[in-house]
Amino acid sequence: MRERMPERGAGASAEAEEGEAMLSLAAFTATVERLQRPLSAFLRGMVGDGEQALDLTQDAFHDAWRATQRGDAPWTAAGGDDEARRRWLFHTAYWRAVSQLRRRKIIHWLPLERPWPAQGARDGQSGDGASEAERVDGAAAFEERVVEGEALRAALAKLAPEDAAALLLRAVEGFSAAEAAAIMRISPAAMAQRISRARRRLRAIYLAQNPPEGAAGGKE
Amino acid sequence: MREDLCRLYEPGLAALEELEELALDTEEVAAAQAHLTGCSRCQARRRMWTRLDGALRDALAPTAATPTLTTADLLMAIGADHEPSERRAPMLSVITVRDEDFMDGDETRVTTEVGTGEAANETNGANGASQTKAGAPERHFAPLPSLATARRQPGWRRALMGGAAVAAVVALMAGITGVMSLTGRLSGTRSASHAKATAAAATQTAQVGPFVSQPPRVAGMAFDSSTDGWVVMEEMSGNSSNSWLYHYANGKYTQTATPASWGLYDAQLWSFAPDNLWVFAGAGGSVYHYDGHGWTQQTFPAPRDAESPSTPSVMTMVSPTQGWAVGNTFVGPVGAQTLIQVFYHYDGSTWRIDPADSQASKGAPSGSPTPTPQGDQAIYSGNDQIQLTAISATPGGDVWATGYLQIQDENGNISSTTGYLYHRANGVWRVAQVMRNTELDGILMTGANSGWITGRTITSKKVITTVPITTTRVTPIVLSWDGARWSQAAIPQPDQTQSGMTFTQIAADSPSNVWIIGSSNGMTVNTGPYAGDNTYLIHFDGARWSHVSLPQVAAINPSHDISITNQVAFNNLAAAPSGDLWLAGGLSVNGGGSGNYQWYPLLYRYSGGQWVNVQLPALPASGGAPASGSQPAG
Repeated sequence: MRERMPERGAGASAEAEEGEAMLSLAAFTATVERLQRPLSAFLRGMVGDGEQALDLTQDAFHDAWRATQRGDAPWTAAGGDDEARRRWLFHTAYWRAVSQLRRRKIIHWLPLERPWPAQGARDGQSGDGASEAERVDGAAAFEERVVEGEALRAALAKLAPEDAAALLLRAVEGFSAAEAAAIMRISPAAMAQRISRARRRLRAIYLAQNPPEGAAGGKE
Repeated sequence: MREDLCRLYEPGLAALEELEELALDTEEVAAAQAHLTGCSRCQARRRMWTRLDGALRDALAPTAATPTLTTADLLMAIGADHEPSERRAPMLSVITVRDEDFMDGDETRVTTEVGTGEAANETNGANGASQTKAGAPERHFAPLPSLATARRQPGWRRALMGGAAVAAVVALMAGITGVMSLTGRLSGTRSASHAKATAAAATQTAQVGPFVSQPPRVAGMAFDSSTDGWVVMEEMSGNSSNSWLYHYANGKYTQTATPASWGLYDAQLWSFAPDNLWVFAGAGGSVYHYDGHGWTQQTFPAPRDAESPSTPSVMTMVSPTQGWAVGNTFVGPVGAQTLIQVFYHYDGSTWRIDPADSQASKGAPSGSPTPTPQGDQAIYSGNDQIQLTAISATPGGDVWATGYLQIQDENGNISSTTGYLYHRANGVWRVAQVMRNTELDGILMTGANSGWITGRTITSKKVITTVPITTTRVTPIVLSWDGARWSQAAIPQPDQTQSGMTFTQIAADSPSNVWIIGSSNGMTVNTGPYAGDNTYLIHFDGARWSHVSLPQVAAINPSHDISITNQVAFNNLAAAPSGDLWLAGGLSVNGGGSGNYQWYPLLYRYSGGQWVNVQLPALPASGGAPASGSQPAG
């Protein structure tokens, strides 16, 4: 049941640890170069802060380097391909970001019962039950102003990190829904639910933070 | 009527492509498609979702100002042996560290000089403290009592080192005694020690991923006596090769060759003799045995229908021929997998799966989402999974394990925390107790009728103001086993500087000599000799718990510069059968006008009511300067 271990003596160099199956430095470098920007963009979307995102990006690559050193899949020359490594990195980055956000308690929430501007609730409904008129009012303004990246990032930062990640993996990083579910270790159904919720909440939060002018009196 | 339909289909429309791709809700999707064909409003809505995705891509597109990380920088930053592609001119950068958790929302501005390794060598040489090889990465400490050495680190991430280092120290002060990554708790165990015939067990699980800028530290230790033991030194700025195992005998350290796959974030050690050492690398769940000549990595059988073998998340060795471990894995067909706890017993030659009843086997509560299989890496402990935190056993085979389950609401907030206490009775593992609003994070059985659990109770209260605010009160608790039941023990209250304290370890060499250490969120600013105000250390003498004074560490601030702060924190305990307690931690010195940050790992032995400073080993020359861990007692 036990395997005899190769040993590493004092002061052994990294080269001495390299086995045949170890991913080459060139391949690792290519991965760093190819994926650092998408990864940091994803993390920036999740944590809402560029500097933290850079930290987490480096941490994720650090994890990957360790995995390379250990010869863990998919960070070997033989096992795993670029896409598997990409999924691995996004998974690692996702968990790191979620953990950091939780531990630092910097997740802020809008009251979800009322994601819409109060003045729009003319018919007494709120949330998902808001009137169609106010929804479309919001929609028009939303479409005009959604190009404002900063405001959108601010709204994104108020999503639950899991919802934000689902949306970012799918919409920004271009993973298939199944890949995104695998990265987040959730079921396909949960993934679809999170993406739907993320899009709708993002819009709602954006509108709550950036109330369209004349929202109450808008027209379809 | 049509508006009703629009409303009905709206959630589905917001993820229509995904539902189609995943072949979910096919009937509803077909109906929604049919509705979409004839509804211009919903068509517009669907186009809006597409544009939203595009706007998101634009909003998150990297800008020209986004720094580029090169592999050379990355490897340099993590201490791997790789030359940077180019040398960079020294520069000054300002880093803002935000850490609400530790510093009550304060922001710390840290100015860090960034330069080349060459410059660092020159600086070190100038004050006569250099033992750094040319071109070698600088370590994050300097021999005492130099304060003048500017921290100079090459590379992109090195620019963040000063700030990150402060965060690391603050994290240490906060009791994040595992690897002080800013990534939170994932799985595994904390450092702990166990010496021959003693029961010293790990407590809280805070093992997390690597933290790039962590200075050298004691990552694990075990002592057989006041003169013999083992110490793992680790430098997290390095790659996996930057941890070293030393045998300590009569004041001298001998480095011991370690397995090639040895990669520790934190280690638990059980030393039964100089040629009989067990090591549990909490990060990856790897278990190694050293027989004086070489290492064997232990293997753990996979349960039937398992996706992959389980690796332990907690383990303990009671004797050289008896050990216990728990891990988890997914079993069942793809698409309908369930997470199970797997209990293991070591009988002196082999790790075998130990029987558990259905409740104890359950790794996730009913109703948890079905996990998606992903064969290319280990699955972290995460939401809706019971996280095992510690395990302890008596030589008589009375075995207990602790864990807890956090349930999150749909928004990702933790809505409940439940402590789980497992017990092996009549050869079968069972859930012995379930405690609401409780996290259990450490256990140490000191006998059939004595044992201790550390943890905390968490009570939340919702306060409605303009926006709902949830206030959470966390109370550390210690539970005591009397042979029949667990009950809450009376412990000395943490003082003000220890508010928010969490326990980090339990150690004992007998039922009447038990130690518990904890650390707090508080932050100490001090310039005089002091004793780690943020550390909470208590001792049980067989009758009651009482505070233990910590060793007085002399502050390093010869010029009484008010911009210099000293911080001391201890986080690692080991009890030797001789009755000695070993305590490891470190002193950090911050400030001094140029954003300096220096770190001195510390080791003390408590013997006969006295703290004795023990020199730590000089780390190998591969990275440069030696670890000058000695600190004169003040």
